[in-house]
Parts: sequence; C-alpha cells; structure tokens
Amino acid sequence: MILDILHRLILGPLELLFDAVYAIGYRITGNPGLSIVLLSLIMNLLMLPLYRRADVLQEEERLQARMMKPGIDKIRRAFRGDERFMILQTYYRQNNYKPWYVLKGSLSLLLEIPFFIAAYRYLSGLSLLQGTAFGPIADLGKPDRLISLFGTQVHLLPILMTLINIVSGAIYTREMPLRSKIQLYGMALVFLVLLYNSPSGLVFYWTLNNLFSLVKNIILKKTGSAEKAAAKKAAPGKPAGAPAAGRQYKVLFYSCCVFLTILLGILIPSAIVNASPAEFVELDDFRSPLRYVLSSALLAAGTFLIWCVIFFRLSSDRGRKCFALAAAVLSVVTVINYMFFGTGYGNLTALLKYDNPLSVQVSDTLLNLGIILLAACVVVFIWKKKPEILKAICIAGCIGLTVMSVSNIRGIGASFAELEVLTEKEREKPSFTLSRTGKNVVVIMLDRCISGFVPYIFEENPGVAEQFRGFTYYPNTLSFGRNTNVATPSLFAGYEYRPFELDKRSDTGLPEKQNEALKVLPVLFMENGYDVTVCDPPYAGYLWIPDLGIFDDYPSIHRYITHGAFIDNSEAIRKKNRVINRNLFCYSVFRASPVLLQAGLYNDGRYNEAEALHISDESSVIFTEESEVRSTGISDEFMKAYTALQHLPAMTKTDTSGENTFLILSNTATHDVTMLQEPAFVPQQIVDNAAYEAAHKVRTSAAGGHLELKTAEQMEHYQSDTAALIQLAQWFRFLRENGLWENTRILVVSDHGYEMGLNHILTGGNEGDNALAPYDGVMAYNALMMIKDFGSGNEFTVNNTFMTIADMPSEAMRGLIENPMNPFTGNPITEDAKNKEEEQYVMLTDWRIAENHGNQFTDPVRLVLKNKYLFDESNWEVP
Amino acid sequence: MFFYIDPGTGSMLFTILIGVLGALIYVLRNSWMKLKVLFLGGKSRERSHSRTPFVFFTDSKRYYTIFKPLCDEMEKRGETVLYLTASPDDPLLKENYTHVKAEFIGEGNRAYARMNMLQADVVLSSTPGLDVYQWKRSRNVGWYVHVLHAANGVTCYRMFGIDYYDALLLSGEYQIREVRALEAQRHLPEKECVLAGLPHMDALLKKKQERGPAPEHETTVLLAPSWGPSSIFNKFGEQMIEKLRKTGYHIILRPHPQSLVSEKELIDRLRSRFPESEKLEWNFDNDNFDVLYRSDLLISDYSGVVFDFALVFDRPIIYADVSFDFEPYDAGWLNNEMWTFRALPKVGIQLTRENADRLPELIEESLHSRAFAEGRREAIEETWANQGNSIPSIADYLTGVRSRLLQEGGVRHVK
Repeated sequence: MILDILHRLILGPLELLFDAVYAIGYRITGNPGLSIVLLSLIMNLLMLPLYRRADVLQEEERLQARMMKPGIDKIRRAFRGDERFMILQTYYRQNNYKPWYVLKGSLSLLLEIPFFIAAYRYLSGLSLLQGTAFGPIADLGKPDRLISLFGTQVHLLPILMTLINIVSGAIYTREMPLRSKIQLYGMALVFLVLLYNSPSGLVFYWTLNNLFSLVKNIILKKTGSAEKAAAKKAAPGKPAGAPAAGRQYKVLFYSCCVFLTILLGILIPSAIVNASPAEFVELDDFRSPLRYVLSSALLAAGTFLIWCVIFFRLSSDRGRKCFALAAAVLSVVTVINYMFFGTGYGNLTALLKYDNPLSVQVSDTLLNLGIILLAACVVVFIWKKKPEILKAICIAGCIGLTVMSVSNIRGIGASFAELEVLTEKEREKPSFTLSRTGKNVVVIMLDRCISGFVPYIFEENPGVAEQFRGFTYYPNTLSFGRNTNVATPSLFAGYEYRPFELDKRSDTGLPEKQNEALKVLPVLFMENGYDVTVCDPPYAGYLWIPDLGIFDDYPSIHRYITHGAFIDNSEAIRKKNRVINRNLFCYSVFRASPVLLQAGLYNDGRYNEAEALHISDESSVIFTEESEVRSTGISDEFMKAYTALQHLPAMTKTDTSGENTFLILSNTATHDVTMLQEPAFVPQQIVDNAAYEAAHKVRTSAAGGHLELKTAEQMEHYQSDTAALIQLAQWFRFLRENGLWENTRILVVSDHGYEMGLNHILTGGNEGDNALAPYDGVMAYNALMMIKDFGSGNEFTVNNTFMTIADMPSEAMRGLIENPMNPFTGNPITEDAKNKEEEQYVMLTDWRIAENHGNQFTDPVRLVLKNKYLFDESNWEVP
Repeated sequence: MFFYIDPGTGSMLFTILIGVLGALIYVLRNSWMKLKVLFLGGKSRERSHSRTPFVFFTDSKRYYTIFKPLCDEMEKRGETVLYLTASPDDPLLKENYTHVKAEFIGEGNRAYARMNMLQADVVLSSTPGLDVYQWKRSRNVGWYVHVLHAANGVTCYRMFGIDYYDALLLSGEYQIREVRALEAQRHLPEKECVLAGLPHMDALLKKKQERGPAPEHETTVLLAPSWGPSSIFNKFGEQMIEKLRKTGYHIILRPHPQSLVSEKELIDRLRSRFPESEKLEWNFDNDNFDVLYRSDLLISDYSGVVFDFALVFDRPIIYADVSFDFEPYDAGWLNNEMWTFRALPKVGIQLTRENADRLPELIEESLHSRAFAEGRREAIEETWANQGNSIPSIADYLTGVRSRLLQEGGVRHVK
C-alpha cells in the first residue's frame, strides 16, 4: 500500500511523462524506433540542466568538505559524546553546512534512479515494440540477435552500449584514481550482463542515453565548467551553501505547487466524478470512485510537489525566480482555462472521452491566447510591484480550491453510499434452493439444443453419458415451431399455448400471452407450496433481456438473470481502472491547458497513451471462424450463457427443511454457438481442431448411426451442445454427491431444433429427399426431451414414444400436482390433445419479436405431422 | 530491478549509503537532544505572555558577586528585573526587593527548557555556550548580553561559547581584538563589545577597601588549586603539602568545591594525612573573600582565583605548571597566545617539577619581588577596565540597550 503510494508519487509522473513523450513522438514519426530516439533526446535534454546543477553541487560539496576538514578534526580530537555532537552542530551551522550535503555529491545518481526505473518499466512493457522492426533490428520487443557467430546468436546492441559506456567512463575518470576506473568499468560490465537479454528497444534507449552522456562528458571535460562554477561559489572566506536570496521565492513557488496539485489533482477530477459517480462504479467491482481522485491527487502531488520542487531546489537563484514567476502565471492561467474555456465539448463518458470529436473554434483559441497574455502581464505587474499580494492570492486560492474539493468529495461519498444501498439487490448473484428432504423439480431449457446429437455426444463423451444415467431420452419429440417465439409458450404452459391455439385468442397481444405462459408453471408450483425459482424466462416482456417484472405480482417467486451474471469482465474492469487512473489527471491537464494545446492533449480521448494509439477502441478480438476447424477469439454471448451453466453447482443452495422446490432455467449456450477446442469442448482464444477432427471424422452412436460434421455451423452446434451437456453432467455429479439426486425430477428440454443439413442422421434418408426441404428439415422441429424422475434408477433409456414440447408441464407436475389447472385460463393442463388429435400443427412465422408482436403471429404457415412420428418424411404434410 | 549508472557515479553508491546513514543519525540525534530538553525540562515552560524587561540568568550561585550588586543597582534604579537561577539555595532568592524578582527555575535541562521559551527584552548572563549546548536562544528575547566573571579573557571559554550573544561586556581592549578575530574567522556578524569592567573583581575590591588593611598576622600561604587530573593536588599532592609545612608559615589548604564531589577520596586521604593544626588549616568557606583577605601568597593553578588574588589584593602568586590543552577552547582557534599566559609570568613565579624542590625559596622570592608588583599593575591596566565602576556601567548599558530595542521595534533578528 505504502509502496504503491510511493510508486505513484515518485515514478507515476515520470512514467506518464515517458508515455506521453513517446506517444507524441510516435504520432509525429509513426515509427516506434524513431520514437525511442526522440524519447531519449527529449528526456536527456530535460535532465541536462539537472545534471549540470548536480555536477556543480557535487564539486561544491567536495570543496566545502575539504575546507571544513581541519576544524572537524580539531573538534573530534577535543570533545566526546553529546558535547562533541553539539559543538559539531554549531560548527556546521557556522559554515552553512548540513550533514546531508554529502548527498549533494550523489545527486546526479539519485536523480537518475527514478528516471531509469521508469524508463526500464516503461520500455520493457511497451507492446508497441513487440514484433516491430527498426533498421537492422528485427524485433524491438526481443534481443537483437544481430550477429551470428559459429551458429550462436550474439546481441550487438548491448555490446555497443558497453563500448560507449567504457569510452565515456575513460573520459570522465581521466584524472581520477585507479579505484574509480575499476569501479566504472566493472559497472559497465555488470550492465552488459544485466541488459544483455533485454528487449532491444530498451537496450537501444540505453545506448542512446550513454551516447548522450559521452557527448556531455567530452564537452564538460573540455570546458571543465563544473569545477569552475563550484570553485567560484565555494571561494575561501565565504561560506558555501544555499544563499538566502532565493528564499523569498520559496513560499510563492511552494504555494503555487500546492495550488496546482489541488486544482489538477483533486478539484477537477472530483468535479468530473461527482458529475455522475454511478458511471465510475462497476457492479462487479464495487469500490468507491474516490480512489480515482486519490490516484490523480497522487500523480499531481508527485508532479508538482516532488518533481517540480526538485527542479526548483536544484536551480540557481535566477532559476528559482523564473520558476516562482512561472508557477504564479501557470496557476492563474490554469484556473482561467479550466473555468472559462473548453466547457462546451459535450458529454463526457466514464472513460473520459467526449461523445463527439473535439471541435475547437479558432476564435476561442485566439480569445484564450489573448486572455492568457493579459493574465500573465497582470501577474508580472503585481510581481514587480507587490509580490506579497501574489503569495496571499495563491494561499487564498489554495483554501478556496480545498473547500470546493472537499464539497465534491463529500458529494461523491454520499452518492456512493446511496448507490451501495440501491444496487445491493442487483449485485446479488443468482442462486436457487434444492431440498435434501423434500421434492425438487428442475426444468432446464437449452435453447435450440439439437436432440439428434445426443446419442453421438454420449458416445464421444462417456463421462457425460455416465452422469445422465437415470434419464429417459425421447428422440421422437416435436416442437410446434422452429423458433423460440412460437415454441416456448407451449413448452412452458402446455397444449393450450400451441401457436395456432394462441392465435385463436386474437384479443390478446402476443407479449401478454408469452408472459402468461412463462408464469403458468411457477405460479402453479408456488400455489402448491413449492419454493419457486425462475431463471432467464425467455422473451419475458417480449424483450431480449427478459423482464423479470412479469413476476412482480408473486414476490415469493425468486427470479434471476443468469445470462452474463458470471461472466468474468475483470479484464474490462481492469482496463477501465487503468484508463481512469491514468487519464483523470491527464484530463485535468488537458482542461487546464490553453485552448491551443487542448486538441493535442486530448488526442481523441487517448491522452497520448502510446498503447492506446495502435489498439482500436472496441477492445479485444472478436470471435471469427477461419475454417470449420479453426477460429480465433471468444464469443461474448456464448460465454455469458456458458458461464451460467458452469456456475450451476455454485448457484445451488441446499435445504433440509422439507420444503419442495421448483426451478425453471433457460440457457442459450446451445443457441449462441461458438467453436470450441476439442476434445475438452472448452472456449479458447485460438481453437484448432484440425488434428482431432481428422482423427474423428465420423462420429457414431450407440444405435449404429453415423455423423459427419462438415461445416463450421455443424461443428459449432455440436461442440456447443456438447459443452452444455458436459456442464449439466458436472452439475448432476454435484447433485449426486450432495444427496440431491434421488429426490429430484429433472427435465432437460429444448424449445426447437435447427436446420443445418444434417436431417439424414434423423431420417436415415438422403438430405436432398427431404419433403420438408423448403421449410427446413425435420431437425428444426425436433426438440430435445430428457426426463429423470424421482428415484429413476441407474439406466439411461431411450423411449420412442411420441412426445411434444407441450408435454413438459404435465410431465413436470406428474404425480405432484393432481389435476393441474391453468391459473390464468382455468383449463386443465393435460396431454390429451396429443393423444386425441391425429394431426399436429407446426407453425412457421417471423422469429423477430421486435416485428412479430401483434395479437397474432404474422404470416403463419402450417405444417402438419401425422402418425405421431417425426422421422418419416411421408408423415409430414406441407402446403 | 536495476538501473543505469552514469559514468563516474558508480563509486557514489557507497557515498550515498554513508551519507544517508550519517544524515539519519544526525537527525535522530538532533531530535533526541530536543526531546531530552523537552522532557527532562518538565513543565517549567514559559507560560506567561508578558515580556520581562530584564532577565538575569545564572547557572550557579557562584556568581553572586556579579549579580548581587547588579540587582541592588537595578532595584535602586527602579528597573524591573527577573533573576533566574539554577541554584536552589541561591542567596539572592532570599533578598527582599521590590523591582527585582528572584526565581529558581530548576537545574540543568529543566532550567534550559525555561530559558529556551523565555520572553524578555534583554537577558544578561555569565553562562557561556548559548545556542551551542542545550541552552538555545529564545525567539522571544530581544538581546542577549554576556558578562565576564573572571579577568582572564574571552578565549578561555569552550569552543563557540560566546558566539551567539548579541553583546559582550568586556574588561580589556585585547579581548575585543580576540572577539573580532573569532568573528571574522567564523563569518559571524560583529557583536557589540562594551568595556564595562569586572563586577566580580569590583565587588572584591570594594569589600577589601571596606575592610581596610589586613590586621597584623603571621605570614600565610594559601594553596587553592583547581580540580581534575592535572591539578596541583593530583600532580604534586602530599609532597608539596609536606614542603609547605616545613616552611614554618601558616598554611591554608582550600580545595576546589568540585574536588569535594569528584575527588572525595583524594581530599579525604589528604585530610587524614594532614590534619588541622596550629600551622595548617583546611578551608571550605563558600565565599573565598576571607581566606584571600588574610593570605599573603597564593599557590594555585589556572583558576580565576589567581587573578582575583593578584589583582584585587595586590599580593604575589605562584602558579603551577600544568600543561594546558587549548583545543576545546576558543583560544585553540587563534594563533596568538592567550592573554592569561602572557600575563602570568609578569605577576608570579611558575612552579614546575624542576623547581618544586625549591618551593620555600620561591615563596621567599615572591613575597619580596618588586618586579611582580610592577607586573600586577600592568595586568590591571590590560584586563580591568573601568575599575570599580562596572556595576553602574552595566546598568546603564542594559537600560540603554532596552530603550534602543523598543525604539527599533523590539526583537532583533537572530543571525
């Protein structure tokens, strides 16, 4: 924690500077390698005055120490203990010397440490360099491998760097004792070893720095100016050390630094966050957005209270005067810029991007420049006349900014507390209860799951089949439509809700009828004393994201959306965190800068972040299939559904109170299919099934069927269905292990199938002979139906009895609810229609609920099935 | 993690380490010192917000001869004075003044804690080491004045002893030269130097004059050494007392008060070996006036008493040869010899290991030398300015400085 804070304070501003300088270099040159040259040049030029000062101070310290040595020796001889200390203290005081002046001599090194830690961290982690060639270097992200010697690769850059280092050191230590020389060359060798295997981009930067240092040393040795300057200052008879003249600027400079820290680090960031605190909070990462303000405050403090102060303290009197005046002008100008300009850029998102590109008016730019000039003149005028007034204004400003900041921070705190209460419910993860002692009825609807694949999946995955023992599989199951909108009402509520029956109730809208169907079973079970949980009722409210509000009349029914509830969006959250942590301070700087610079600093919302320059905004690689056996990327939609299935055990709470339970859950992992890596059938960034598929070209079933998957569509459906069943199997294992198996009735159903040119595995005929061909093949109307009853034994049985999806409700209630009556229509729920009626009517209609939401389905087409058997094409009558 | 090192800075890694450690120790030590004064100083911190016009501070009742007449003078003039002493049994605590208030402020750090927070216009003290040792300049004191308590100059204080006073009340031109030399060497601003004289010697002189000439008595030799490993008792000890006894003069042995504390064993041994008799006397008086008054010759090493005796009572002395280490003293920073060492040969004979056997002859010689009487007169001229008039001069100076301060607007900025 403390280390994090220190890192942010000291290294944070440097890393930001490196990033911005590099990014701007990249924007100018468009070349990652040249940008390194630019970065090195600018950083070294920036450091040059610091080094020059440090050299002078070092020499000064050396001279002073030499002057004071006889006195110190005398005191050491004459006194002991506390008295010696006090006398030495007085002697130091008389000579304007502080014991830590010893550090003056090491200043240049001390200053370099943070700069180079920052450079090291920045360049070795910069993905822009990965795989980028520069001149003879093939990849700036890897060691250069420029020389090939006797079959081994030798890196040239580190060697070059060391050579430069040695030459530079030879010049620097020309008049120094042998010990210094040995130390120096030793150091050069150590760095050769340490950096030898580093990315060549980094070594290149290092090499450039050494080159710079070499040039600096040559010039310094020629002029010898450090010694001269120091000797002039530490002339005998005159005490060396900080002269008092610079002190009068100190207070002004420091108070301006505090002012800028509060303005840029706290006030502007807190104002942004306070404008809409909720946007800065993620449900999955529920932390106070004040951390962003803290982060920018630390960056600002590091910039103004540490680095600016270091530069200030290392300056000469003249330099300090300039610094103080500049700080005063800067403070005034930033306030003016922030308060009066750039306020009309539009709506800002939480990622600190405006909805629309920045449009800067030339007139604004000119007006702003004029006002800045005027303000600067006023400041200089006051500075000349009465500098104390500036000091007073600045301190008063600090107080004012602090008050405003505190008000913002309190606002954010209050909003966050409110948010915490409001979202408590939403942040609750889905869960349901199964009883160990009572009876549990579970209905799982797998959208579009292909019934015909089941025998092949079980054959290929014996472990899955093992967990499905006790289930009865009904292959001969009819769906009354090939889409969710026509199929789900009958699936959820029985024969009364078959599509043509629904259309008879032409006085009621389809959305109402859908909602009613979804409520039938939950309400019936609830009324019979069951603890009911509904997850993802499909098309509830006729919306893609189900509206759980349809159950608002039944508060005791638990309802959840599992779709996406378990998705790992930590990557997105991490990105958001990183972007805001970095850019909130950058935003402040951008807003407080002159209008002329604003567009450049805003940089289309990227704020000169090098990494952001080459990555498109819509992040991450989207799923693309490259062939039937290869794909890259992961489908978000599949993952949202798949993770819900993965979390079934986690969602399961057990109960021993004896209360019966009912759970109905739908899942779309089988609908939003994707390509999965075989043989584990798991999602992967890069899927390559070429070898596996070559070895498993023909899949077989226990009954002797053959399945050849040829297209990506077939592959993806088969793989996704398998993945869903694998997850169910794992949950079944969990149920068995937790004593929830025997007393649980489970129905695994799908609402419909899908046409993908595989009808022959169901009919045994040729694909082209299919009578249903114009209206999709039989696979589209064949739904999955597998039922495991209470204490169903250990066998997996196949039952060819004719079933329809509308049988699900009565099967779910069988033996538990006697003579169930639909609570909304008052009609009994039975399977009579199937048994009595010779013909079953299937409807084709528009699947889009956004269009097809009147009282009746649009343009219905009727398909007729006779003889209660799906897989004989002669049983189908088509118009 | 590692970092790039500029050529030549490699060797600085070590320097940094030493520097950081040194600075750390310095800071710790400094805060420890401050804490010591703060805590050991206890509660005796200045609370009152009224600024006292004059504060006299003494670390010991020994300087009674300076402060008593000064307090009397200020009382007479109706000036308000706060007399602060670190001696609980300071006799001035019992005085009944109207304008002078005497207060015991604790000993050691406790006293300094009070002094460091003091609020006063002018502070007068004979204590050296202001702003060097635990006694710091208070930022609410306008002017610090140092008064000499002995005739032997300003360079025999321990190093930097008077550097942070604003004014020095001196007794000889040579002292001003020494002060200026030190100031130049240390780049310190010039202090105000006033030849105000020596209150202590004036007091002795006055007392002597009041008593008139000493009554007829047998010739008396006083042995009053200082203390420590190089003092007479330690170096010459029994042998010398033995020799003195044999001279047949009346002998008075007066050990330094500190000897009774630090060298009790030695003194006890000497006392049992040389018990009191008609011809030999041990003296432990608080005030040394009486014993000086009735002595005809003094044998001593370098304590102030040598000059007291020689210059006030105008009688001969024999001073012991003890090697003197200048290093801890301000004198160690100046090349020319200390005035004391220039003056001594003029006023008395030096006792060395070589001539120690001839002590009785030395005594005879001293008692009758004309050259030494002449030497004493010279020394008085050099080091006892404003003779007999120091008290009114000091009082004048103090009141004058205060009114000047008030005109200038109070506190003088500390250099």
